[in-house]
Amino acid sequence: MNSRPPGELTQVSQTRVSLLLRLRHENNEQSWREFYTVYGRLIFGYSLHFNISYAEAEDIVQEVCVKVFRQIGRFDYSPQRGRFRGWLKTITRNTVIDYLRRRQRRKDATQKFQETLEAQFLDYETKVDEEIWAWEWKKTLYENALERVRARVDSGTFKVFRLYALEGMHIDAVVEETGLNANAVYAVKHRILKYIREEVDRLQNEEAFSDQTG
Amino acid sequence: MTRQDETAPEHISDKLMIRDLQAATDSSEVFFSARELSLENMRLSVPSRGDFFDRKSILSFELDGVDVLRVSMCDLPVTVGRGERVDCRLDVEGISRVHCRLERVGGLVRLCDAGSKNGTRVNGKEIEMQDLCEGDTVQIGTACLRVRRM
Repeated sequence: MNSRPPGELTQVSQTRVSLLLRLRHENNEQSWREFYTVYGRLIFGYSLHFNISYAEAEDIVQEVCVKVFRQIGRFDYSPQRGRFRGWLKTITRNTVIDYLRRRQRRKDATQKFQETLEAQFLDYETKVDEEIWAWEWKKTLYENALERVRARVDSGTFKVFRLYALEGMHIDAVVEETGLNANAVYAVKHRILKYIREEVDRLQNEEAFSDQTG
Repeated sequence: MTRQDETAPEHISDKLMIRDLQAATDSSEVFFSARELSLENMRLSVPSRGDFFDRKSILSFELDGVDVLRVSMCDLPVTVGRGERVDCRLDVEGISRVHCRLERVGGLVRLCDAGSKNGTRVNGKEIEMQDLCEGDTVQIGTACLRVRRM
C-alpha cells in the first residue's frame, strides 16, 4: 500500500484549462457539473449561515448557478485570483437577501418586521459577512480536495488516512485494523496530505481565466 | 478551522490541515445528495429568460395593484380560465373557458396558451408559451396582470 498505484498521478500531469474559461467558452454539462461541485458547496455553506434550511439552501444554489451560467459570458475578464469569487459572492448575497425578503413576504410580515429584517441585511455588510464567505470557501476547498484525492488513491490507502488522520484513531489501533506497520501508516498520511495540498492549489488555479499547466 | 484570507496549503502545518479537513466535511453529504436533481433543474432553467422560482415560491398576478390570482409552485400545473372546471377561475371579459396553463419546468414557471379565442400576451407579444419573470405583464382577455414572485 506504500507504493503509488499506477495512474494515481495522471491527473496531475494533465494540461488543464481553467474551469471558468471552459464555463465561459463551452458552457456544457461537464463544466456545469464541475462548477456546481466546487462552488455549489460554497454557496450552500454560505446560505446556511442565514437561518436557511438545507432545502432552501439547495434552491439558492440552483438560482445562483443559473444566474452564473447565464451571465458568465459577460463577466469582465481578469486573471486576478479571487476576483471571480468576489463577483460570485455579490450574486450569492443578493440572491440570499432576495430569498429572505420573499420568504418574509410569504409570511405576511408586518412593516415592523420588515424593518428589522432590513437592519439585519445592513449587518451583513460588515466584516463578518466577508469572514463567513472566506470560511466557507476554505471548507469548500478542503472538502473538494479531499474528494479528488479519494478518487486518486485506492480505497485501502484512503481508509488508512481516514482512520488515522481524520478520525484520530490511535496508531496501534490503525496498525491492528489495517495490518500495516506504523511507518507505513505515517507514510500514507504524509502522502495523502501532499496530494491534498496539490489539489487545493489546483482548485485555486482553476479560478483563473487562462490556461493552466499542472 | 483556522480563518485566513487565502488558503495557502504549503504554509499550513499537517496538524492544522487535518483540523481543517475534519471541519470541512460537516454538511457535505446533504449537499451532494441533491446534486443530480439540482443539475436537472439547472439544465432546464439555464437556456430560458425566466426567473428562477424556489420550491416554496408563490406566483401572484396583480390587476391594478390588487392580487387577483395566487398560485403556489407546489400546486403547478394549473389551468386558468372562466370555465367551472379550471383550477384557477378568472372572470374577465374576453377570457376563454380554458384560456391558459401554468406549468413548472425546472425552476421556471411556464405560461402556455391553451388554444384560447383571443390569445395570451406577455409584455404585449402574443405567445404560445413563455417562461415568466417578475414584473412581466400578462394579458388574458381584457385583463393586464402583473407578475410577482413571492
